[in-house]
Amino acid sequence: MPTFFISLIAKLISRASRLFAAGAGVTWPGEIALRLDKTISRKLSAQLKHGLILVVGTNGKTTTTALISHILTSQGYRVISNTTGANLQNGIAGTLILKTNFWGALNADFGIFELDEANLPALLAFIQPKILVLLNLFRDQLDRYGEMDTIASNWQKAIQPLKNAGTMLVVNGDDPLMAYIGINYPGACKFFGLEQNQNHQQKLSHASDSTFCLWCGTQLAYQTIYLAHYGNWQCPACHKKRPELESIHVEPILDGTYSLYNLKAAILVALLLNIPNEASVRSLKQFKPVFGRQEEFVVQGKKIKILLSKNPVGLNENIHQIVNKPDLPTVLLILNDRIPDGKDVSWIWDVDFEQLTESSKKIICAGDRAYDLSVRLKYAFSNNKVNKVHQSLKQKVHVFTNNQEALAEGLRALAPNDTLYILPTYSAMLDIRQILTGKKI
Amino acid sequence: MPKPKELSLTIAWLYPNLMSIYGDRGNIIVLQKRCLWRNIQAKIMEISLESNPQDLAQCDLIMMGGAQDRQQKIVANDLMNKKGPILKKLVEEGRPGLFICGAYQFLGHYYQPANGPRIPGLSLFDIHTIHPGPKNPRAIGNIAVKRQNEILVGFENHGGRTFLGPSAQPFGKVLYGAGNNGKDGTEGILYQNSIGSYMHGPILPKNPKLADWLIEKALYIKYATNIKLENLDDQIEESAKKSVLQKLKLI
Repeated sequence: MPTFFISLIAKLISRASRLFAAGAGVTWPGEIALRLDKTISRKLSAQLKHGLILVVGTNGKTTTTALISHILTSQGYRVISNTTGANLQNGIAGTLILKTNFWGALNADFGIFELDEANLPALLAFIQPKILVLLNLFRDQLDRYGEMDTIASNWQKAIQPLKNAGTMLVVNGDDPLMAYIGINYPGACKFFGLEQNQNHQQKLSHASDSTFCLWCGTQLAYQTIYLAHYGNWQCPACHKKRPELESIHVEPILDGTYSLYNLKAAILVALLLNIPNEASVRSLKQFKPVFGRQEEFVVQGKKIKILLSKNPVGLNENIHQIVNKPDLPTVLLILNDRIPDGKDVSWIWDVDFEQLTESSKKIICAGDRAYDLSVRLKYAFSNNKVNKVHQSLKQKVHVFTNNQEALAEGLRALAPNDTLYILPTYSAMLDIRQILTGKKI
Repeated sequence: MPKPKELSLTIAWLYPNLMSIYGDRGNIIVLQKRCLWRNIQAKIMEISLESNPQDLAQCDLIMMGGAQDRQQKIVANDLMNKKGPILKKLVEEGRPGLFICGAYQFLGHYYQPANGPRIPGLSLFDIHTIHPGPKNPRAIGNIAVKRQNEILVGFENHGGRTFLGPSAQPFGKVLYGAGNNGKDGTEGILYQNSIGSYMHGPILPKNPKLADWLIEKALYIKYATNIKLENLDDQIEESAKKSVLQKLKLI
């Protein structure tokens, strides 16, 4: 079926799905378009004047994609991106097709897409990007993905042949697994990572993976550890080590060590497209956080900040960020166990909540598994006198089964200049945003 | 008999770096806290590939979780050749242990993968496990199990189907979910004072009585007397369990 017709059908479906308030209406049109022509993404992306940039990783893809889009747009390029986070193949197809003109043709310079990690091999069978960004791979949604190693090895197999298409890799060298894939890539590859002496941890946190050498299986040694299993790694046995990093200057316009990685990745992509480092830094001064990722709101004169928390590493980093602020934070944790969140909530026991119970004013637990959160917190108080534990629990921790009430309580408990930090899983983030904005994404 | 103030336990955590991807650390946290809350000094001994197998003999309670295939292969070697014999002896003698998922499978006679040769286990538990192949769905989801007049809740995620041998006693009876193999209604194994199970969650946080059972067994083996643990206020844990049971429409 000619692209013209597919494009019409897709646009009708999108209208219809938005009419019925079923969300942004990108996924369905994309799904139908793919059914009608499974090469539609390839056909459309071939029309992009300068090609496709893909961003994969467990944490940071939405922000990194948005950073790259922001930089390129500021330089005058026409960019298409899956900003609503529809990151499966149908999301990419949908985003492309909905941007076609009446005749079904695409007028844009770059397509910049975040892609769900399990879907990379399938998409690469159809599309060879100009640049592929490998951010990281962390345990996420245990019940959905099963084995991280399987995903990584599938990535590697799918990435090797990209050399023939001239794809450039932009890789997080501080992540041993990403570096392994980059080093083994026969084509062009540039690495980013941190070199500074601040922002480092003393030892690997519990929520770390990939700490064994991928070449010889020996436990890795780290000169410096920045986050989870990221750092200046090397193998004491076979001497493989972190590859040389590109020199990239960033201004920390977003909080948290993890943000430095996202910023470096974006600026490096821009550098490869001949945009100077300083130009990127300047344009990013106007960058606004993406929905749910350090997104800020003001409600009834009170400040709210949403930090999406999908997995142990992400939640650890968010907790680390907020307990290191000058004042004790008031926190709203929302744990759901739906398909986008992962049905198995065992992962909260891999999170270091001990920092949070020690350094917080109030912790409100909400979501489908609010009680699981409260049990986790009970076992996270450092005082071992059980009476004190129950006292602290009663004083500090509150459980709500309704998000609206939980939010109201959070705002009520807030001191005048404080910020309410909301740490939700994915579906909970969409829900709380809907409450705050009155709109679905 | 030592006065309550002087009670202490050492809890062995087997392979914490390699076999700890499913939140099973929570079991260690719960065991330790429930001891400390009763003024029982509880120390965690991490047992890794490099540890001396004899260290295990100093432990009063043993916990081992699950892992990905690559890590399980590394551990299998160590268990079969170094730590296995002493672990077997301790469990046979009644030292209590909690073996989850991959650990549970290891302690059986063998694991038959979908492709490739049979992998021998420790033969401590009278069970064997078969992986039916990728075309068969994994057993993934919330699970509820009846044990000693109590309902336990957890989450399972396994491809392997485990079958109990003639001498094996199941840990519990499945009320919701698959359990050992999705067919015979059994979940896990109970052997001497040790438990093998597919239940993540992790298993102990929402099932505190089970944690206390393990602690009491450990104290009994160590001090050769029945020490009754003081009751703790487990309302929060009960609420969490109730919430899951309601979700599963079991209450």
